[in-house]
Amino acid sequence: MKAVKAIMATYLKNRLRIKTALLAFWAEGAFSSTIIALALSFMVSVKDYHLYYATGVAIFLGMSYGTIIANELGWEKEWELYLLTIPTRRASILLARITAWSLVSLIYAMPPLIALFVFSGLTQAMPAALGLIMALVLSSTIGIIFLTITKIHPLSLTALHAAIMPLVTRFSTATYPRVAAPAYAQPAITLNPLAYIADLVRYLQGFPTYLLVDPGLALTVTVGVLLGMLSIALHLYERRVEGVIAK
Amino acid sequence: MSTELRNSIFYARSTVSKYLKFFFLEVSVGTLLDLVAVYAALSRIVVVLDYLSFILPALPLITSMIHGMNLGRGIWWWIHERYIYYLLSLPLRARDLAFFRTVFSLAMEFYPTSTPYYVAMLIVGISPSTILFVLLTSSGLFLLSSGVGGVIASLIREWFKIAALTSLFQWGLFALTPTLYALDYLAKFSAALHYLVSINPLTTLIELARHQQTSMNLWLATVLFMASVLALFALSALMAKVWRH
Repeated sequence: MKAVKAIMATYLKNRLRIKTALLAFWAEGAFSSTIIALALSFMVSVKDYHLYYATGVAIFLGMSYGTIIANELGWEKEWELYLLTIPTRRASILLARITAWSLVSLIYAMPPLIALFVFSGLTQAMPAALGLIMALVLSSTIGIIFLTITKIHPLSLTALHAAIMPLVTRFSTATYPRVAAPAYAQPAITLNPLAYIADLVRYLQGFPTYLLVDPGLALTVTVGVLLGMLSIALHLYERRVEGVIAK
Repeated sequence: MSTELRNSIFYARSTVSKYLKFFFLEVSVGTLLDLVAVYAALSRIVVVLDYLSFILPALPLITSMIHGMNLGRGIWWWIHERYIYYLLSLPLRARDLAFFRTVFSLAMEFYPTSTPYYVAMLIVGISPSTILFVLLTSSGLFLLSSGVGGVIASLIREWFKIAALTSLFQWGLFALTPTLYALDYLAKFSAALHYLVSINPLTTLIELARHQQTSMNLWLATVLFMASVLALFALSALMAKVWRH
């Protein structure tokens, strides 16, 4: 447990130590998200679109930070930086990474969006934070599977991410409701787990149900996919990425 | 052609093509999917105007600033990894190297990745004169922002400062131009922001791109492009001077 805590502390410290970058990131996020979301909310037919948009930004950021975990693992292999000497289970190391990155992502992503949540009640930020974490878990586990497919080759991993992740993020309901999607995009959205995560979060925020998929189905798919993907990722990480199972 | 100029062009081209496949894949796929999924869906819920015709002329202008600045700040890696010392030891002119690097990137990275925008403009029925206006203006903005990004990256030593400064510039500019929203609707929640956006020079260019093009506008775009080429040349000379020091 000590080792896991140490890994988490290292990631948190490394990511948060440069205060200027963090402040700039917050300012940039607050500026761009708030102005665009509020102006757009006057133009679209969806009520409280600024809330819809802010939650979408949180989900996008979760997806984006999740890809970093697999990228880091790829480059650690390239630079021969293995964690094998740490006396703990490989699965614990991966869970520590995902947890640390979830915390880092919350610290990076949520403060800039607060201004938008103020307009619709700060409690609405909670489901958005949950959406960010679920998106991060989905994205990081997809990354571990890609890492195995590419035999831990960082450049091939980047190429695979570049080809697949835009499909996952764009054909989801993160920035637009399911009913607004063109007919040709509907099958891709139906098959995309991120769309169910986004719809579940919007249901928790109180958006009308005609904009969303059935909440029961969204919950079942979200829980099933996240648990399934996490199990596969942990298995692959132990067997293929770090390579040795600790006793 | 002198040997120095030929070497400058050769190395400028080689630095661009190294990363081309990943950049092209990521940005092109992203751009295409943004158009066919995100903006197509938004156009169905934006009820006050024809959203695709509204955003398409503006998107290449704003993305040119963002990509140009990203290209320019990449110079920091040349300095950080000491590649610049190797380049400066070769029989080439640093100014020409910086200049042609941006020119090649415009031709080999920016044009291919922004092609989906122009194809979409043709499909939604935007006039060829508007497309020409957008092409000339966005090319000029790409060259200019790349030069500015290159100078910033050459002058500042810490990557995080460069990243913070250029990101603030890019995303601040993105938010403060009416790319994804109409200027009139901004006034509904903040008169101060509306004023700030309306005095932004890029807003003027975007508004010009959205209206019927006159020969005067096309001349203006040509002059802007030529001025940007000259500005890039001057900024490249400044970069070369900083590198030599």
